[in-house]
Amino acid sequence: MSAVIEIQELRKTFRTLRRGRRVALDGFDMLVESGQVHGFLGPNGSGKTTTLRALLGLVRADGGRMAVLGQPAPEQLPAVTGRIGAIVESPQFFGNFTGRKTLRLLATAGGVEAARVDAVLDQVGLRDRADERVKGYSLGMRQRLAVASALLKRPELLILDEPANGLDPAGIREMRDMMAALAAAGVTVLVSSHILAEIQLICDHVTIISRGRRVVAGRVRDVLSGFDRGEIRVRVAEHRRAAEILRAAGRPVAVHDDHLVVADAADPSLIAQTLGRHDLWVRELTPLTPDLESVFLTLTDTVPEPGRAKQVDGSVLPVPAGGAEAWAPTQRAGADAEAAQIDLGPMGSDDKGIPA
Amino acid sequence: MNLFRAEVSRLAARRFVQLMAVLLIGAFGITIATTLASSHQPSANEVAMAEAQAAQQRIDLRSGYQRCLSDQRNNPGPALQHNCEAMNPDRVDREDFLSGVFVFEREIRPLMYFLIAFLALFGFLVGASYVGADLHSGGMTNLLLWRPKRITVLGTKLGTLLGAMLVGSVVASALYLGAFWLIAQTTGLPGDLDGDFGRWMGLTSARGLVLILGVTALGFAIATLGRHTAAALGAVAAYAIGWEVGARIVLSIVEAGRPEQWMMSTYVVAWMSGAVHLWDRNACSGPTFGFCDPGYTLTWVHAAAVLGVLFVGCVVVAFADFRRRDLA
Repeated sequence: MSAVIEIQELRKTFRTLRRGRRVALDGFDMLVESGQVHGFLGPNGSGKTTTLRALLGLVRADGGRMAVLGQPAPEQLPAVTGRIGAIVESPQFFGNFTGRKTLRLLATAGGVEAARVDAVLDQVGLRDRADERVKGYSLGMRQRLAVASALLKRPELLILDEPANGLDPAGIREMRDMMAALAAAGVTVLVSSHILAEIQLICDHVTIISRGRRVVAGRVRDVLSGFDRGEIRVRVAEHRRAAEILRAAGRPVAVHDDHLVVADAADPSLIAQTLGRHDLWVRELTPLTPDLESVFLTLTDTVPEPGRAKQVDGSVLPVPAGGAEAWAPTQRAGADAEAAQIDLGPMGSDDKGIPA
Repeated sequence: MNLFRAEVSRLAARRFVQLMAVLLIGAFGITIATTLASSHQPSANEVAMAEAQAAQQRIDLRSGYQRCLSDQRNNPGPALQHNCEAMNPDRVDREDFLSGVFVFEREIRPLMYFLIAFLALFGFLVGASYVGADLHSGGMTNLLLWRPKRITVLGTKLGTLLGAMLVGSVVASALYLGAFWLIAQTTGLPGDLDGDFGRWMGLTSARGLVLILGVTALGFAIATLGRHTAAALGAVAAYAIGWEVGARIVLSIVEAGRPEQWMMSTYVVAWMSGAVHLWDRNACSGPTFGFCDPGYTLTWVHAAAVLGVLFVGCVVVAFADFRRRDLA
C-alpha cells in the first residue's frame, strides 16, 4: 500500500507574549497508508489538531517533514488539495448564509460543479434544511455541513477532526456508516476523535499521540493485543477460597468484591477444572480483552486517579478538600438527588485489563 | 476567476455590507430630500434683484481691490495676495444674493466632499468587516482548505473589495450627482458650469476615488493584521483620540512649530484640495531682518507620498504577516 500521509519528526512550538513558550509537537511521526480508516487519538492539548493544521498548511511547522498524497506539504499542497477533503475542529460558517449557499460558495471557489452541492447535502442528511440560515443550525447540523463541505470534492483523502462533535446518537451512527462506505469506496480516512468506542468500531489503524509525540501506532487489533494479559474474570461461590486454590495452583489472582481476575490464563477451562476438583463450580468465566479506551488512558498517562485532578499539561493537582462535596453546588436545595448520581471516582472499572 | 466570483458573491451576501449600503443610501436620501425641500426656483423678480445687488457689490469692491493689488505689488507676500483675491469683484455673482435657491455649481462642492467622506467611511468599515469576520469566524480557514495559497486568497479578497468599491463609488457618485443636477434643473439653478468647474469636478472625483480605495485598503489591512474587524475600528479610534487630539494638544503645549505636518488629517485635506497653507509658529519667533513669511505649504504631492506610504505600507505588512502566521 502506498503512503497517503507521511509525517516525520514534526516539531512545533507556540510562542506568545502572554503564555510564553509551549511545545505542541516534539518530533511526531505518523504514517497513513492508502485505503486505511486511521484513527488519530490523543488527550486534549496533545497536538492532534496542530498536526492536522500543519499538514493542511494552516500552521507553520518549526521542523520535520510532511507529505500528503506523495507531495511535500505544505509546499506542494495546492497540487493535491483538490483530492483532499478536510474539516478541522468545529468549523465556523457565516450565520447569515444558508447551508446551500455556504457550500455553493465553496464549490465555486474550488471549481466543483454545482450539482455536487445537492448530492452532498443528501449524503449528510441536510437536504430539507439546506435553505435555512446556518445560525439556526444545531451544533450537529453544523458538523454535518462541515462534513458536506469536505465531501464536495470527492476526496481521495478525508481528514476529519472530531466529526462526531455535537452529533446525536443517530448522527454518530450515520457518520460511522458514512465513513465505512467511503472507506469501502477506496477513500482513505484520517479521523481524530475522543469517542474511543467509535474509533475502535470504524478504524482499522490507529496512531496515539501524547505531549506532542507518538506513543503507539499500528493496526487496532495489534495495538490492543499488545495490552492483552490473558486475564479471565471468574465468578464462583466462596470466591476467596477459590482464590487461595488458584494461587496454590500457581496462578496470579486479584480478588474483588464479587469476583476474581486471573491473569496469564491461556486456557480458561483449566481454571474450571482446578476449582471443580475442590467442588467449586464456576458461574462465569469471561476473557477480559483490553479496549481502546483503557489502552489510550494507559499510554497517554491520563487514567483518572482518585483524589487527584490531572491537568491538560500533564501536571496533577489534588482535588479540593472535601472531594465531591467541594465541587457540589452551593445551593443544595433540590440538588441532592442529582448529586447522588455524580460519580467522581475512577472512570471505568478495575477489570478493564489495564496493565499495572 | 472562480475564487473571484465566489468572493463577489460572498461580499454581496454579507449582512454588514447590505446594512451599510442601506445606511449609505439613507444618508444620501436624507441629504437629497432636505436639499430638495429647502430650494425653490427663483422668480424673475428675485433674479433681477439679485443681479442688481451683485452689480452694486462689484462697484463697492472695485476700488478696494485695486488698492489691495497696489499694496501687494509694493509689499509682496502670499497672505496679502490671498486677501486680494477674496476682494476680487469678478468673483461676485448674482447667485450670491439668491437665498433658498440650490445652485449646483456652488453647493455641489461641499456635497462632493460629504459624498467622498461617506464613501471612505463605508469602504473602511466594509473592508475591515469583510476580512475581519472571515478571519475571526474561521471562514478564511475553510477557504484555505480549498485554496491553500494564502497570498492568492488574500489578494483576491482585496482585489474583489477594491473592485466592488470602485464600481460602487462610481455608481453612487453618478446617482448622487445626477440627483442634485435634477434638483438644480427643477427647483434651483445650474450656476456657471465653466471649464474651471469641470476641472475641479474631474480632479476632485479622481482624488476622491483614490482616497476611498486607499482608506478601504487600510481598513482591510488593519483588520488582517489584528485578525478582527474591531482591530481596525480600535486602531482608528486610538489614532483619532491619541494622536489627532492628544498629540495635537501636547505639541501645542510644547510649542512645536508645525504640529499639523504630523497629522494624517492634514494630508487628507492637502490631497483633496490640492494644497494646504499652514503657519509655522516658530518661524518668525527669533530675531528677523525684513519680511518673515511664517507660512508653508503642503501640496497634493506631499500628501500622495505620505498617504501612499501609509496605505501601501499597511497592505504590504498585512500580506507579509498573513503569509507566515498560524491560522486558528
